[in-house]
Amino acid sequence: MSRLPQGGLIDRSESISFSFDGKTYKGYRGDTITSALLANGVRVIGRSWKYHRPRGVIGDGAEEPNALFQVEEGAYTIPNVRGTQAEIYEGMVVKSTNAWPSVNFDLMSVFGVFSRFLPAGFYYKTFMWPKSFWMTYEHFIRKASGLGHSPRVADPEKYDKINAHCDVLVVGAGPSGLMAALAAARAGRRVILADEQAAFGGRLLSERTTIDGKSAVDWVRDVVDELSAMPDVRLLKRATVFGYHDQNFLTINERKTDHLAIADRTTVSGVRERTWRVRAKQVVIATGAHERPIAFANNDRPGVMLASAVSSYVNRYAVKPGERAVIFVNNDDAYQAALDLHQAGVTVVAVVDCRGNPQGELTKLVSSHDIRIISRSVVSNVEGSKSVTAVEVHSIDPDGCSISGSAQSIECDLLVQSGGWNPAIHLLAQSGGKVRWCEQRACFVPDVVVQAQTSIGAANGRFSLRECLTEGAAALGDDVAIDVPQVKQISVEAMKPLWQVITDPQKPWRGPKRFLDMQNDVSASDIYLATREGFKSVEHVKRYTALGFGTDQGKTGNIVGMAVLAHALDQDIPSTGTTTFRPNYTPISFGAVAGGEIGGTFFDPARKTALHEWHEEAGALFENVGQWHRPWYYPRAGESMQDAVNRECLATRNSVGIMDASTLGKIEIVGKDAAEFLNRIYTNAWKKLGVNCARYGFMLGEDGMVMDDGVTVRLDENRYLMHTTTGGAASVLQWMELWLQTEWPELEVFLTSVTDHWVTAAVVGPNSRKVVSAVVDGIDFTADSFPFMTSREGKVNDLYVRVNRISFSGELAYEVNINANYGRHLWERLMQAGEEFDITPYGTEALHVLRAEKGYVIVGQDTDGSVSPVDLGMNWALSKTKDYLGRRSLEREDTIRTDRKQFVGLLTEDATRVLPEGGQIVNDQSTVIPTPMLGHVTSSYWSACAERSIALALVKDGFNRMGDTVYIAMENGEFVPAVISSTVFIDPEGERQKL
Amino acid sequence: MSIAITMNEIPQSQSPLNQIDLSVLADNPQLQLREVPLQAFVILRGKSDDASFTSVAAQVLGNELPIKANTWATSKKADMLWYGPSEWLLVVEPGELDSLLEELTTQLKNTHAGVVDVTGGSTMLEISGPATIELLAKASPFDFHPSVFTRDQCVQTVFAKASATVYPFAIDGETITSFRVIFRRSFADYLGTCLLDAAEEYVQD
Repeated sequence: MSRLPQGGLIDRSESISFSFDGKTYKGYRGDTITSALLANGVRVIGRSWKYHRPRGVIGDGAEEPNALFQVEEGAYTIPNVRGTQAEIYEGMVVKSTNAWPSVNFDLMSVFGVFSRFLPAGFYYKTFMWPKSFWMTYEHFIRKASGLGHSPRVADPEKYDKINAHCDVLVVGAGPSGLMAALAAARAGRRVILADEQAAFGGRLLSERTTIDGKSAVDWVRDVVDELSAMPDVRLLKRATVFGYHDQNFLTINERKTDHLAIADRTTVSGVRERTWRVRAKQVVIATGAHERPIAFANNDRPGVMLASAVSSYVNRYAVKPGERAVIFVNNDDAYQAALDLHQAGVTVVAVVDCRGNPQGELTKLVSSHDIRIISRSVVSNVEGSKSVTAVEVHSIDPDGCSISGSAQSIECDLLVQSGGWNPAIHLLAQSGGKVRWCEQRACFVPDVVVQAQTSIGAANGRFSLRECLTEGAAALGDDVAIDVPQVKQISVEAMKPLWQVITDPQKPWRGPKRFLDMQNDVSASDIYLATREGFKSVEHVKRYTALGFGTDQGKTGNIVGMAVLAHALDQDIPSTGTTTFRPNYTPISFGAVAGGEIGGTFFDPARKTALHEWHEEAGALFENVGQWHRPWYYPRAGESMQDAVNRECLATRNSVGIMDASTLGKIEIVGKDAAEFLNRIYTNAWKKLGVNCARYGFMLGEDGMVMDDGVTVRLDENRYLMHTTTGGAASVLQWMELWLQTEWPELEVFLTSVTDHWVTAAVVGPNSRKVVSAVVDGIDFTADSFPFMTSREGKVNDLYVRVNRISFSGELAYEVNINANYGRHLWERLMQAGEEFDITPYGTEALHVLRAEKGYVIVGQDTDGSVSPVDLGMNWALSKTKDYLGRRSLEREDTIRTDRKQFVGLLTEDATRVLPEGGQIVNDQSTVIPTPMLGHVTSSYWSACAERSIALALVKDGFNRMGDTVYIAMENGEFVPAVISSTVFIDPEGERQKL
Repeated sequence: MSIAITMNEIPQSQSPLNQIDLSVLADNPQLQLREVPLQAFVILRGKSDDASFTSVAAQVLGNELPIKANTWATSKKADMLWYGPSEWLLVVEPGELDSLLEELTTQLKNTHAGVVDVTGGSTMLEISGPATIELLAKASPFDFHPSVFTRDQCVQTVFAKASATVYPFAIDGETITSFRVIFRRSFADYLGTCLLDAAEEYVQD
């Protein structure tokens, strides 16, 4: 066991069992997967992606490239969990990725032996030919590469989204972020402070330092306590700000239950992950920095770790990551790791420092503990396979570029390294900001900022605690700055950039692999190879080598890789540039992206009429029309859909049917210019329509094509009720408002949507008059006083109703409208009154058949945006004496062609044969390709009333081809003959609706 | 089960939310949600800068229409919510509807104005309790913080994947203690279900 007997921020009173690759281990509350595994002496935690080399933990945070695990099984499984950030819980099941059959015995590691055959661009080069082999290759590659697997069953957990607004969003609760949040909060600002870790404090959790005379941890606790007590401060833990978008809109992924045993999750909050959509007046980026490694030979052996991570494991998790340590540094910070290890009882054999004569205060402190400091030297190689066993140390020339002399080998099981720090500039870059290369600190730092934001502390390249606290205190400007707490200041020796250790300056790609991107197994030699093959742009090299393509997005490897590229191209880093940072900062689950908007209920709203429950009780099946759920048909026991539709159609034509027409769009048009407005919008004339009269109208787009149709009723002198199609209601209202507001502001007209206000019951069929007149009071229903295409006002149980005698079936029909709150009452009264006539509710399918039997067009089904009213044979609806929208387009050369696709009927020679809608129509049974296509079947049904198949179609030159036989080409190669006919299949004289 | 139908007062009517059982949130400490069923709603149209309209409307309604964007005012006849430069929503006690419609229509007869009854097309929820603003934030991107959304404000907003109008209802001094949310009838089932789902974490057993 490597757990220190005391210390750390773990809760030793709560012991937790978890399993890794089938074996059970113990850890404590406060442990991450990696701290618990290290505490149990587990070194090899996975295999690398390409070469299947054993890999260990490098880091302690979001930068970790190796410690990716598959957590849980079945529905709860999560792939590629970063073990450095995932907290353990009782019963947690953790598995390694990329290792088969086990991390310690990996059959795939044969790739490692043949690694020189797996160079950069390996896939592009190897698997391109023969082409037919690709499927075989792909199968093999997928199996070999792994990187976790997604669940195969539905996710049982709940996700949601929430909007939030604040004056200041502080990203990161390290020393600078805490100070900024405190300054903002004390100034009365609305603050959101988000941190990806389970506890606030950032690096302070890993350091043994004092602030204002208190331990760092106590100082953090006091600040957090103060912030928590403020009403307008929201503290979000386990919350990663993963996206920074325009207008200071940021997204946060809050993981609410991943740290809890599965059984406890639902009882706590019910939500696994919450996506916060934050609109911030100002953003403070206090995201800290990532320590970067140095590329030396075999730098991926388990036991090679970053210095800051080593301090974390020792101080925060009370774990000894090894017994004999060598430290390899180019800066002063990493000496702290030597002190931490020494304090924890680890033998620190030596500190290898590439600098000539480091004299910083920490260096002196390390020296004072009799720890050997080997200056102007580098680690040139690592020995061992599943663990570091020794390192080779070379001295370097004063120029600092090449090694000299012979190597000395030092035995150790832990190599702690630090190549300096990279500010976490990801969010700044996502926001559109630009960075510049800072020579002095050898890192990219924020430069151009394009949104209301500021980067502070380590994220701004200010790495010392004092600088972090100072920048945080003043982050929101001097007027609200707070006092900077006291911290010890130490003198620091400047760092010396060191990116890689080259053993052969003539051929720097030679020698054992020096890994840059551990997750994608990209090494320095791959970069050199890419440049030798002609790649120069960093973006191209990245894609060719896959540098930074992993789930870690190259947080440890990218900058080192770019430095290697700069060396390969013999240019400096600024001219080599960086690749682009894009959201997401760390991988985000699909659940978090989707939020609650998944599944049947929340994906798309279901709009329901006030009669919906009645339809459900009557056994209706529903059809989606836009967002509306409309009754489709009402099957009785044992009935097929066709049986039900036949019954509904026959009942309607022979006696009486009833349909819920509430979904039709309804717009009230009010004002003294309403008739003039309608005249301009519709193709026909409206000025002479009498009060309580109705008229059918076509609405055209500016291109002259049919956009919508419907009946409009004149309710009063200056008041009209327009009906639109169910799907077209919103777009028609928008269209009319556009014209009113932008082109015709002089018209005194107001439009108001009343679709939802009315329930409309269409009572249809020869007995409809008897039914409606039995229910509605105050209207004389005799044919003479209430003729077709008129409208009357009446009462049902003293409730106002408007009855429109209009028809979409060719039958005698009344549409009864009532305030939707009373819709069900009206409907039930009508059903009751219709009982003696066996009144039959019918759905959209019967509606479609009934109207097709009469040749009535459905805009959007029989038309597709390229059909003019002339093409529909409805010239009668086009006024010749006034202007209207779309009129001029009807004069275009193309629209006046007489051989356009025209709306006709089709009668199959075999009357029982129902054509498929969409079927292509051709002249003869030719199989010559290409066969000229004449058009397609737009609507097709079995008509129980006509006792035969009927169809509507758009056919080229159709009006001139009445009686011609055409063929419908079927999918199976068959041709079905049909005769072009009138679109009216029943009651061609239109007598029935006028009864 | 329905808590929304008040069968005795208004026979044969059904409120839009009658299928959604909100009883779990009736006396819940963190969050209370109830339908204010069968209110009457009127869309009033007319131009803000047309004195012949605004003066008549004010005279009939008993108070000036709010002219400032996204504000509301109340009068003895109605809550008057600004919907646009030429549009207001009037929230009216059901018993007052017929006379108000009659009076507005008659008085505005010779004015460029519109009076449209949309009572059956909408419903209203009342939301109160400490979690109210957080619940609203789950549905709407609008900022309901008291420093932004003050007692005289109303807003038409995206609400889940539908739309809604929100305005303060109960007000204690400057503090809004409950909100009213108005939305279309056809979306009532959807929004009711959404809100119940979003409210789950605030429900105490």
